[in-house]
Amino acid sequence: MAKKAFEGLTESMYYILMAFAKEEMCGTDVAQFIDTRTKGRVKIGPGTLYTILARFEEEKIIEETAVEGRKRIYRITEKGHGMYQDELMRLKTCIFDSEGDTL
Amino acid sequence: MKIVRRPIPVPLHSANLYDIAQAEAYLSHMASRGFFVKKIGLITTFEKNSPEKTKYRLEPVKKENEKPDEEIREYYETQGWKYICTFSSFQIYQAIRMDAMEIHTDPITQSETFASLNKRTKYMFWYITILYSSCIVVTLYTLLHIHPVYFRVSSIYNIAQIPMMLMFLYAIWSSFWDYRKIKKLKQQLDAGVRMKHDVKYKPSYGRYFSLAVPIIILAYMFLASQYNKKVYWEESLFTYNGSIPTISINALESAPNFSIEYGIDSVGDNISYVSHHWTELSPQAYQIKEQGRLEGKMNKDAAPVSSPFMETEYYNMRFQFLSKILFDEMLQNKVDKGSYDTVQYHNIQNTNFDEATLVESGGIQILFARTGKDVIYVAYHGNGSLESVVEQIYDAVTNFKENKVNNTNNTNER
Repeated sequence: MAKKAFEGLTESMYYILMAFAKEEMCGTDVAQFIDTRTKGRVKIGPGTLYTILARFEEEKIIEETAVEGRKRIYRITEKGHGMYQDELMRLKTCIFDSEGDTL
Repeated sequence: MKIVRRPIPVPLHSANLYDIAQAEAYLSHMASRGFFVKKIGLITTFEKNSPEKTKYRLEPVKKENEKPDEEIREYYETQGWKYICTFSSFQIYQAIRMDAMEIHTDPITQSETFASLNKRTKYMFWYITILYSSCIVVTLYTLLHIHPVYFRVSSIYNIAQIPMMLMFLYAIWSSFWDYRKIKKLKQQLDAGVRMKHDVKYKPSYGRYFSLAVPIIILAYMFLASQYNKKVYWEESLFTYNGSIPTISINALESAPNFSIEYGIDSVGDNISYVSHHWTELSPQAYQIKEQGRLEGKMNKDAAPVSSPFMETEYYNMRFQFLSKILFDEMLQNKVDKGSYDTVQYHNIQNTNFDEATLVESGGIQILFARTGKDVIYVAYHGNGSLESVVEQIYDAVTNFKENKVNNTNNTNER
């Protein structure tokens, strides 16, 4: 992942950021959120989910706020929020460019 | 439920473990026969149950033998993956249901999980290469300095060095392939290519090679040393009445006060002896030493002055080309150029030997000669001329071989 991945977020990373941008939650909730939001289109394997969570925490994109039983709750940091907004803008521009082309 | 234990199976041996898809396929194959892996270590434990179609995944860990968090373990289970055990660099998961979603759905993220393993295999490769290369250089230097064929045939104890060197080379070679496999896999994931799973299990003999090589080498070393012990003999020339592949020093020393010493030296070894040993390159090797004495010639310490002696080494080589190599190696090895001022080489032309060279240095005459598969070295110090008996030595070598053949035939007839 490292640098290369952050130059452009993968789809899985983008949706995980989106989930945290809505509210703080644990890993299971993230998977649930993505499944509901994309109506099952985007599937995130358990390994992918926890690898991204660990990396996001390490890079201070998210931070742990509480531990409930065995579950760890995270929230998005300012840096993470910035990344999410940037990516959102990039994607919107892509769509805008594409629509401009068809017009 | 029956627990079956067996030594670590080859597909899970660390040398093959990095062939991840095949290691997974092996575990599924075992499950299809009713053996479900429970623990992997030096002894692998399987639980015997009714056969089932299932699949396994090997997940690389950041640190060796790291176990997953409870939270992760639980979540994986809800997603259809049961944690089984951790072995070496991998956590092993088994699918609870065949339609379970893949553990990794994003190759670029999955590549991250291989980062630490990639580093470890890389360090391991360089560590092994640097360490073993230095061992190889030292061994190689020793071998080159004293010449490999002569080194091997001259003593039954010179057996470990060459196999050890091969094992070092093999360790470097296999650590390089481990590193390359993981690096390539990581590069593929980085490029967005999904990892291969659920391949067909192929039990191939090549996979056993990694274990077989060191075992064969060690077994050979053990058997060869046992055989050496069995066939080795040494006898005093005083009691020995068999034939020898050389002439006696008596053919060169005619002084009336000359005699051969047959006693035992201060450490209990025969002074004049004949010994026989075997090596795979030379099944018949003899070493003969005759120590002479000139009565009445003593220096002030009452030690014999420059007593005549004759030392012979005879090798019947396995192949003729080896005798040529041995001849050249001995010619370089047995003449200590550093210790004497003058070394004179003289090729003998009129001889029945295929090749014969006489060397004189520091009062010692040395004959190097070969005929067919036989190589002989005779070092003589005394009043006679070794050159004058070269053909007698040739006859001794030839007769010795004929005697051997006759003896073998007689034994067979009996």
